[in-house]
Amino acid sequence: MELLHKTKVQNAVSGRMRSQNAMFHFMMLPGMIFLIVFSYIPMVGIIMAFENFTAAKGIFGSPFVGLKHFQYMFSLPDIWVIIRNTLCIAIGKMLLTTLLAIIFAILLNEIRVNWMKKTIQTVVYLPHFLSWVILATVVVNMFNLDGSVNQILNKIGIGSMNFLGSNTLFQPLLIMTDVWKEFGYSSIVFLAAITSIDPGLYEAAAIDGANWWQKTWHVTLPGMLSIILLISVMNIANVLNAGFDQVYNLYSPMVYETGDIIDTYVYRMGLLNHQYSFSTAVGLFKSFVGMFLMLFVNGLSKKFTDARIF
Amino acid sequence: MKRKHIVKRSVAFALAASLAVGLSACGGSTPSASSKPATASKVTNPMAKYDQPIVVNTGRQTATNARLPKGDTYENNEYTRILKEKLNIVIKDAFEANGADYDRQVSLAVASSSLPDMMLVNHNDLKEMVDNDQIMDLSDVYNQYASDKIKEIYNSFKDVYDGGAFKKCTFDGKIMAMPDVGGDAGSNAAWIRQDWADKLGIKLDPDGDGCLTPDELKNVAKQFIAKDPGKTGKPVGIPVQQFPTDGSNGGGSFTLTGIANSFNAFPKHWQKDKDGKIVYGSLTNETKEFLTTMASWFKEGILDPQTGTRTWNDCQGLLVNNQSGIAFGPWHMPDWCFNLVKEKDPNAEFRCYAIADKNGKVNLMHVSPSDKYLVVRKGYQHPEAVMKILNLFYDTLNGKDAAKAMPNISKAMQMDNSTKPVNMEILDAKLYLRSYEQISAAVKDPSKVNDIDMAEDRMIVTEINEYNKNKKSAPVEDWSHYTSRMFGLGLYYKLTEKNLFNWQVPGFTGTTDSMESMWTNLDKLESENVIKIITGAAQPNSFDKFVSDWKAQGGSQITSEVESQASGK
Amino acid sequence: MKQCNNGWAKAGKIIIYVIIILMGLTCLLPLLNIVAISFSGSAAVTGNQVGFIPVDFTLAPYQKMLADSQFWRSFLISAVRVVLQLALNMVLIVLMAYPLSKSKREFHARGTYMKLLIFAMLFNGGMIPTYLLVKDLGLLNTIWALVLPGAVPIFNVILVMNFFAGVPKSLEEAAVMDGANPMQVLWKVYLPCSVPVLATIALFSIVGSWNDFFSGLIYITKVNNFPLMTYIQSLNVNIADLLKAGASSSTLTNIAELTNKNLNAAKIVVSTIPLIVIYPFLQKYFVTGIVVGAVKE
Repeated sequence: MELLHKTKVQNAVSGRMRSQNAMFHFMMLPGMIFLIVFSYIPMVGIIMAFENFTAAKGIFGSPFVGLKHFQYMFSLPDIWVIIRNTLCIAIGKMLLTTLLAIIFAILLNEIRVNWMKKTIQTVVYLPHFLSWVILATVVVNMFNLDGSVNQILNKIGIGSMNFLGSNTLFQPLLIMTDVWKEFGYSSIVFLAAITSIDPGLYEAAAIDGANWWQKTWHVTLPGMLSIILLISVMNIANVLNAGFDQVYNLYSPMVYETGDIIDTYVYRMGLLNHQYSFSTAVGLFKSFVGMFLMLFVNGLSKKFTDARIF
Repeated sequence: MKRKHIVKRSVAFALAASLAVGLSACGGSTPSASSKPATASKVTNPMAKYDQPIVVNTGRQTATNARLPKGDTYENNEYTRILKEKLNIVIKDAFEANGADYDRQVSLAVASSSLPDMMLVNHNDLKEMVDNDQIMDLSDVYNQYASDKIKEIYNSFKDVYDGGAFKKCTFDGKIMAMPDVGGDAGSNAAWIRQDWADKLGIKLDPDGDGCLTPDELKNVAKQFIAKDPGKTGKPVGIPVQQFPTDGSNGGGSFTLTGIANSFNAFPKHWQKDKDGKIVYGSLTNETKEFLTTMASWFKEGILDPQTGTRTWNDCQGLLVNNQSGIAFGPWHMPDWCFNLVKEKDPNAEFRCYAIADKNGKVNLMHVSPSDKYLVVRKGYQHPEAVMKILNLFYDTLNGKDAAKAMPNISKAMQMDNSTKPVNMEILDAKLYLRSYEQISAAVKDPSKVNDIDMAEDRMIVTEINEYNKNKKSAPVEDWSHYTSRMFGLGLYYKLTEKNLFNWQVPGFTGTTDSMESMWTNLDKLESENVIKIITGAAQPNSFDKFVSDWKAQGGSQITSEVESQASGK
Repeated sequence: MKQCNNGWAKAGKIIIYVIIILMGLTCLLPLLNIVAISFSGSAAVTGNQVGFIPVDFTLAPYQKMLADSQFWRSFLISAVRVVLQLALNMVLIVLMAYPLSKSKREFHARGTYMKLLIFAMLFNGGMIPTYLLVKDLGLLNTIWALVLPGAVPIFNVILVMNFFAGVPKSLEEAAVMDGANPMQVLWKVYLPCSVPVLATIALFSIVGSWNDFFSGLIYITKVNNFPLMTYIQSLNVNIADLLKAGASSSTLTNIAELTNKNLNAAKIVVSTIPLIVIYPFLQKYFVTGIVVGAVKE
């Protein structure tokens, strides 16, 4: 009965939809093949987290131990301190880097002198490429007790601050230097977002008498909102990755209390013997936490904004 | 020194000697007849060249600066060419990696069940491979094919390590790997800028025994700080890196091991106390006293005020800048650390002194220089090829007639040692003493150069002579080798001759099961404790709390495991 | 009132310029420090004496580097890898982002694919299983081991997807009206409108594959096949750790010769130059207004 009621147009539309859908699947295919081969097949290796893996026995031959590694992880005397350190450092970095990147992108957009704009853009994105191995020596030179920063602090009367050795200053040091390193590279996405905003919106705002600040607040930021949310949600998934390379190259026993993060602890365990199972378990733990947080923030943003991320 | 034996005469000798070695390695039990293969016939010519080229697949442990000449690679260089020429053995690298990357490649190779024919592994990997039956028993190959000199070298460690050279690689009476061995080479010495001491009129070591007491050292540091002979305006007494205690061979560099030992403290070592019980050296009263003294030195400014945040590189920087003139380290520190100091300040001269205890003796712990074992995978058809390679490189080419066997040897020696087919050493326990004897004799009397065993030492004599001829214009490398051999090794020799060493043997080396899970945390506790007490961030009596925390957080359990392993095995 | 506005506007502009310049300078100065180190003598560098001007000026590090044939071999390998990875990434990202940017109504399976992607982004099996796979595929020690595992950078797919979702529907409808199939719509409509984001992901791809050193450590077994950053990384050794591990005096001496900071700095400067050159090329794509022209009624 229903068939008789369908009009030709509807038939044509649903037919087109079906062939479109087929085309869509076809477009997804090559990428999905790679994903299945290089991401999903190795994923079976996650069972290593539940075994006492030894290389000799292999992934499928090592004895199964259930949640032993997770229990062990939470029974470590320092585990909550280490997790707290990791979270503080990671969240501090994420918030400040994103904030600074957004501010920088907005301000840079106002620069009209083209050569200056291009040069500065290039310069600020360079620190991202320097590995922490070499940057650490620069940071240590600058921030140790006779480094340039303390020389300036002394001249203006504040007195020396032991950035590298004090448990109150070490985390801020880590965060500040990492924000410095990454804000330029992070701003690239935001710059791309800003350039995609329809200039007509700015013209309309100008006609309504908006000043610079109002334009930014009512046109620029909303236009960037979906990207800002996207970046934030992606970052949240990484909240337990506080930046091994940086911490490893800057920390020392004096600041283990605030500087020891999950990855550096696992690394020192790996020096004793390989610990592949344990590090897989830790990785799995991080992934789970990241996933939950991501879904949580995604849910929040769905409620309060129109922007769709996934 | 013994020349390479004529084969006929040596075979009978070798069989007898190897039987003795085999027995001692097994701890007294005779190997059962069933474990010996039926083909245990006499090998008439262990160093026979193969008719067909034999390929040996290796896991290659590389070094950062191989100094390969242009066109050469790890698989094709002077060493691989002589190997092909003499034995018709071809080396193919299954993988080439360095340091931690090498360890990772070993794990990956094991995990993918594609083991190279031979490779170096550390002790943990060795244990795992034995447990999983992945490597061959090398006892027969060793007995039948190893040259006399190699056997002699391994034998020389009988009294040095508890159980001899093979103790840690023998499982169930079977030798499962060839260990890398080398001698101890003296204490963690205080290297002091002699030119500064001269300038300030300080007489170091007036009685000429090569030793300083801790107070004498303190005095030198005080004077260097007060008078700033480097003229920098910011003198530093003794630089210390972030881990002041160190249990490795030579005691580490920019550490305080030398001073600790003079308090009879051996942090980071397992020692036997007077009752024969095993105790962890970082917990002893002597260590507490040592740390307390260091804390007071720190307060007085003798130790670098920035101890704890100064990295190793920073410490070297202090020396290069002429801010400091004292550094603790092993005998060879002038070779790779002080060379930059000399480059910057051509007047720099360093002399080294051991720190003696109240009785004038220098306490120190025997430590194996490395944790490398050469294994052969199970099922490889030519395990004897591996032994032949070792014979060639650590007997023939390490002896007086090396140049005869390999005319290109001086060219080859320009390259780093890692370019040899196996990146290991087989050097006897007394090597460094002999080395010093021979070098100093040849410097005094050039005709003695021909008596020198090691080709490397001969090169060094040439360099020392160059330096002595022209102190001002000789290259820095010559000065480095002169200083490290004549004074670094010289100190070791002198103290041995004067019988001033008080060698200790560790109660236990290696790992236990609980260490895998608990040691990282205990180590963290210890590192924090050491640096905090020294820098005054914690009071010296917090040491007692550290000891009880250490025991409570798994230390007691580990100690009892260590006790049972040390007595049981 | 107009004059008041102008005054504030001008002051605001100046403040903005000053802030931007300061930010640029703070990024530039440490880089200058590294360049200065690369031209300074070893002793000065070890003593941390180098600021922004070379001390004991020397070209030795650069000469050593030019003579190091492995450095240039690795440079070439990295360059080839970047090109291959870029081509593969761009194609796959765009092909996947487009269907994903459609609504559920238009593409029924969208949600499922999305979940698969996110899951793969969050969870992975780790180094050993991936290594075993690459080995079984016979890719060890080939350039494909460096390129294929990273074929689908999921974050970039989601990024492009978001941009595609923002392209005005009217453009697509116009094309469909003309009888275009999805591939043609993608090619003729979406890509031209998305140039900024495409430039962005191209940059991310180039930077990511140029900088990656870890894949080289695991998958490349012979030193002369190392990509550039892996090679540079292998030169970063800590002498103190090596001493602890029992390295002999001669090895330590050889290592000390090659790992002085000035040589490292020189290698880093040279390996960063391609990135400095690439960015201005891509910057011209960060241009406004492409969308606008199309939509004006």
